[in-house]
Amino acid sequence: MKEILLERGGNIVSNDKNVALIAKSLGSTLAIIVTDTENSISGICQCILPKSVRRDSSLRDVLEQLRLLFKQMIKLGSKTQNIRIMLCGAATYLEEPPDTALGVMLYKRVLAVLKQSDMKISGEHVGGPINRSVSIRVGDEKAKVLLPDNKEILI
Amino acid sequence: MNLAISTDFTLDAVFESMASLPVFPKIVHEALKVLDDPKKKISDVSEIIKYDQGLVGNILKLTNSALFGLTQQVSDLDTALALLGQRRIREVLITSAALPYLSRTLSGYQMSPQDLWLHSVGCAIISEAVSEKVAPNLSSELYTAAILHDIGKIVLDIYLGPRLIEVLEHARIKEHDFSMAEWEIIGTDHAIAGSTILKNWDFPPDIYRAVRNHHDPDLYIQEKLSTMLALSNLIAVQLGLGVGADGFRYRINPEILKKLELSTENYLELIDEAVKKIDAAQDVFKLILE
Repeated sequence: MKEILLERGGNIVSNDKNVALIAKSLGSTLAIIVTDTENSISGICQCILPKSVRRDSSLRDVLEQLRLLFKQMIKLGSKTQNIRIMLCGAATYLEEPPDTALGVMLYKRVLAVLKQSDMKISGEHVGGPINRSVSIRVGDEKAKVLLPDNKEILI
Repeated sequence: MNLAISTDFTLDAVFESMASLPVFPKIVHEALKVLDDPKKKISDVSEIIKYDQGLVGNILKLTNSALFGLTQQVSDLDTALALLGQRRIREVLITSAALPYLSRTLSGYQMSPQDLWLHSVGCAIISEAVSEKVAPNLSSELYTAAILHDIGKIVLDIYLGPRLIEVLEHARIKEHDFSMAEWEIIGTDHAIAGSTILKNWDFPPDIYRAVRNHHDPDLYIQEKLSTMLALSNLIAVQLGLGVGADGFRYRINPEILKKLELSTENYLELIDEAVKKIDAAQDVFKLILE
């Protein structure tokens, strides 16, 4: 099984069933994992910015990340209605003010963008003081969340 | 250092053992003093450090990394120092000297050597973005405090490692922040331990005070450098840079951005800039793998 590690703020889609897509140490950033089991296509992206803040930014905001992720899925032959969406990450401090709560900002923004497009989340493991990693084997229905104590949870 | 020493878990034993820790290289302190002396030249810095081959090797590796942004690769100390400039020399010296300390496993904090290095250097890189935005005049002090802010974890892990598992469990069950749990179980916290080490190593008070305060929301908010360090650390953890078991188990002062006169927009710009700087510094993160 070949493993492809997502770069910080990156975006990967694959239809190679021998590949696992991995995003490590997400912190408060939010991974969006998508999968189409019918066509064996899966993808993952890491959102770091809820909205665009600088013209010269090298990071895509939530909206751009989601657009790109779905565009790539469809390009490889997936259909929107077949795509299962999962979220992982968005860790929060025990207490933090709203103006620094990156995980909360990202989560809310993703929910808003998905709602606008009438899309539903099928599984999530988000929030709380937990640093997570996540992986999905291309074509699988569920993503695997890795917790700091090495426990694994399917979403 | 030997874990067998750690049979005495009393706080006194921990603080006594700090005195037996290897000292921060004296020649680095001397070199930093020379840097601050307007009568001295860069070549005087070179004279002091050139006989420490380990240090010179690390300086050259760092100087040639993308982090320090030289347009040409250098292979000798004199050229490196001449091209870096005073502020960068200071940062390279501190980072080079810190490398041996910050490439350890911290079992009690569930941190690999890569985690500790990634978190410390990541925090230092983020601190550059913070100081550029908030107070450029504090950049050197902030960089030093940022790269060494978790040095206390090393001592607590060596001498109290097994008890840190209890600390984590205590923090989880009671939903206390990690510093409070450290106090409740072992009678100190890693920020105080770190501050004590830096004081013993003759670092200036503003630096060891910032390290002392970096997890205490009531204290760091009183002082700009401490607030800037707390913010740099906050972002490093949010970006998942070498996050230990304690990573998110802290409380953030609600006034942290206000204290630094930053808006949410500014905060997101900082994160954007921090990611850019971190991506450019990948070769520094790999230093301890070599």
